[in-house]
Amino acid sequence: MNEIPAGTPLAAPWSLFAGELGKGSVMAAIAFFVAAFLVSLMRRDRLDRAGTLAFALGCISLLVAFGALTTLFVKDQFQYQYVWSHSDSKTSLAYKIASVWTAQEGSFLLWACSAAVFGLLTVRGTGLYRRAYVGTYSLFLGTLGGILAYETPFKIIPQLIAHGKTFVPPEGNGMVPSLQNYWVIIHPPVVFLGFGSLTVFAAYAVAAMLQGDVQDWVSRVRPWTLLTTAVLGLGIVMGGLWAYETQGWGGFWAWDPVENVSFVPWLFTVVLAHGIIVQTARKKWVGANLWLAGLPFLTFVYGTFLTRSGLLDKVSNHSFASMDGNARFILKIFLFAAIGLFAAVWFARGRAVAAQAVSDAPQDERGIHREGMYRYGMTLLGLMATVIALGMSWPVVTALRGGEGSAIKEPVYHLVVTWFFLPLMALIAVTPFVSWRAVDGKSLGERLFGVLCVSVGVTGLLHLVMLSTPFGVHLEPGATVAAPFGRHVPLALWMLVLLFSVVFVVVANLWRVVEMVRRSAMGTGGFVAHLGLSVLLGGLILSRGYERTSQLTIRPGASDSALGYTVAYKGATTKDFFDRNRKLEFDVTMPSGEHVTMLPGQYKHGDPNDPKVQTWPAIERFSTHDVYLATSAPQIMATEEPVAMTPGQTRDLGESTMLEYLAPTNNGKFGQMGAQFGAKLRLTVTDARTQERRQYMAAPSLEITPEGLMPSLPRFGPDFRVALVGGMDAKTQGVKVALLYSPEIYYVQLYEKPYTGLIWLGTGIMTFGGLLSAYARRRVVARQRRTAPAPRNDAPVPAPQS
Amino acid sequence: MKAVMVKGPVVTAVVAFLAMAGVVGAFMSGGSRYVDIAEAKELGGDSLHLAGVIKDHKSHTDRETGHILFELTDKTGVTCEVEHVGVRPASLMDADKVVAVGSFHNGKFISRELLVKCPSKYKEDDKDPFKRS
Repeated sequence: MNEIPAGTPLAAPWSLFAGELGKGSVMAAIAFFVAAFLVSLMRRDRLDRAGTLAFALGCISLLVAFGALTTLFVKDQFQYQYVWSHSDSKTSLAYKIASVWTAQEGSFLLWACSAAVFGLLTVRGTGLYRRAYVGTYSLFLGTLGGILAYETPFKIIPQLIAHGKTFVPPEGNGMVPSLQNYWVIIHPPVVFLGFGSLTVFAAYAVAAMLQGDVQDWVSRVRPWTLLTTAVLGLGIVMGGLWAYETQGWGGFWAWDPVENVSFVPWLFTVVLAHGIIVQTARKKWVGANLWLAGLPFLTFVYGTFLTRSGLLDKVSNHSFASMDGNARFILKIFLFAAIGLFAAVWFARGRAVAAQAVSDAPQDERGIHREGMYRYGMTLLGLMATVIALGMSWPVVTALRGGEGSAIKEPVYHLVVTWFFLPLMALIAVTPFVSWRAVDGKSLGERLFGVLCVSVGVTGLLHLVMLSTPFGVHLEPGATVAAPFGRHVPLALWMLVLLFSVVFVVVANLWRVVEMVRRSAMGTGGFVAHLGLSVLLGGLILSRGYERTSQLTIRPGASDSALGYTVAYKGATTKDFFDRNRKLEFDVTMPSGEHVTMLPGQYKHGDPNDPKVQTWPAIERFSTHDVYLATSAPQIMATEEPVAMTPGQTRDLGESTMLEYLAPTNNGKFGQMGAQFGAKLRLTVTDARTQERRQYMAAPSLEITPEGLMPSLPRFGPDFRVALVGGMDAKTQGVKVALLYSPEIYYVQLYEKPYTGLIWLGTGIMTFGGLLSAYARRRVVARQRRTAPAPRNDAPVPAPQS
Repeated sequence: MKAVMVKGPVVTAVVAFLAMAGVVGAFMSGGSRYVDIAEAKELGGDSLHLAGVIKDHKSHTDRETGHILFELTDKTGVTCEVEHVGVRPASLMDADKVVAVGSFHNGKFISRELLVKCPSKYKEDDKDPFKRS
């Protein structure tokens, strides 16, 4: 055990109370949820109110626990293990709050709290499903509470408790430097808000099956599916933007398992949102919708297990928590229990009820109708989600057959997803023009003719504009992309196809917005969302497909050129390497001749004797493209390790560089204070191109001082300095020579990313459209509830809407 | 009439099945296998994922080409030379483990892509709370 240094302050009583409050709230939440669950099992009408109350109190208790933990972070209560590990007193308030969710316990708490918030928001509108809904929801939150009680963030570091008193260490360990970016404040809450809301659909589906009414629930859950689509979609895109702005590999989306884990539930939510529309209009897809409501939640739990289990450790760029064995076991049980329970309810009740509900659905009409289009779209989207889920599980699937397992990478995903992507884009463009009443192909063709003409024209125009210099993309001549069956197609042709698919969706949905906006501005949300999605996809496609990149080697005072850019290093903004705001200053000359200063971040952190380097890329945004510049720590050592030599020896250092140890030098007596001894060295460098040889001399030495051996660092030609490391072998006069680059070398990765602005624009439009349609739906539901207490199976077929 | 009614779902099922079969085929042929050095030499191919640690945490950059050179030790303890010709990772020195993607040429592994695994952000050692790490 470590001794507690004298003068260490005692923990304030309130802080110990806050910790106890947090721990107690989690316990209270579990108790409330167990009570609510038991009450729902009893099926007594007069107890239902109490059950709902217990549920609400449980949700509030979780929020109290979150509040308590946040308070401990804000007030720097480092006696708590979790706070000490992830925060320090020097960071700003926003980062202190964000520290709450930078690790496992806190992110579980965030998940629980977000689910609790949605529980509180939805429980009032559950109507006849209330009892089963509260029971199901309580079961989930109670289990999550159990995990939180086990993996508690409210543990006090045991060494800090002595003689019944608790001491507070002066400083915490701090947030991991690579997370210290403003996105850590925004992205996790948004994405977890999305994850939390997935519980709503699953609980509704279970409740509908148990209750035996599998029709009414869809209208109640519909606004929430739209809200989740918007919020989780926004969260996912934010994750991509975060990666782009901080990771230094110049991309938004890498098909990394962590990304896919959030993407698959979102795709299933989108399928559900459309399935509900079909069920509302045609009373079909009843059984499928029940499953589709469960899948977003189940795939998210599965993904959480997958990423936290250590099974994907080698595959992902992210570092994962390997949870400790017990917690992993709990999560595994939780996963199997969730899937098992859902399937059990389906086979026991859902299947029969759904079959009965479908039997009185109207017959399929012949011709082209909206239901058919939805069927194709949902099948494709569901298959795509399954494919991605399979892709992210592939390392595990293949590992089960023995061996190391294999991973699915970006090119394979692109190859496979394309088959779903292009038909889906066609459907998103065409479906708004198809009504629930069947039409024949000819009249649909007439309706679409104008849209198609405009789309072809716009695509061609865009392509021409983009290829012209001022707005442009620069195509490498002869660039190709991998196509199925091992073939390759020209990049330009492929990009034209993708661009057309994007433009077609934008034009078609914009067309419908214009047609509808005067009749029902609120009803255009769906079209707007699809339009935004397409703009976003266009940004991703163009910025990735037309990306150009090159590595530059830059020494201070000199410059290097690539892709038409010239980059020169100017220096660092501060001499303090440990300053978090330290930037490297690069002067970048654009192809247009314009000069821009770009400031990628680079600073050291951790143990001063063995520091680690944190780097941030710099991004210069223009209206048509981004210039993206990423650096790594400068190269200083010219050889891997010091070269051991004895007098007369010659060593080939590679890269046409020879080092000779001519003779030892000394000045004063060995072992005496002030004595200097060293080595006379000769360096021969042969120019790789001209074969011209240059020779340089240097005599680095070591001086005996009261502080120990002090090496000199003489210049060794224009590119190097040299020093002796360690001492000199008295017998052989052997030395160890360290050759250092002077000035140091910076390696810069330069990217040109066209049209990234579309990603921001598209995200904005998509989120706006999604929220608009969720709001419009909410109003419809509210109106229905006011006018008719039971909007049941006799509801009229609604007007076409997306 | 009955035949028309079931045609849709059957076609959907067949198409879905074919699609999934195609995808599994693509995954099986396109998946990148994680291999050790002996397996990599035996298998060949240009998209091998060689996993291991950087020997002695030492790497060196060729100043003419900008390529990173280091020695990689795999889990069986075998070491080979790696020349990384692709995009430089930002923090090679802090890496715990690396995965080099590429192929063997004359006994040297030429890597196009270097995945760097840094120490887990969740790792909590029993560190002394009075010392900053």
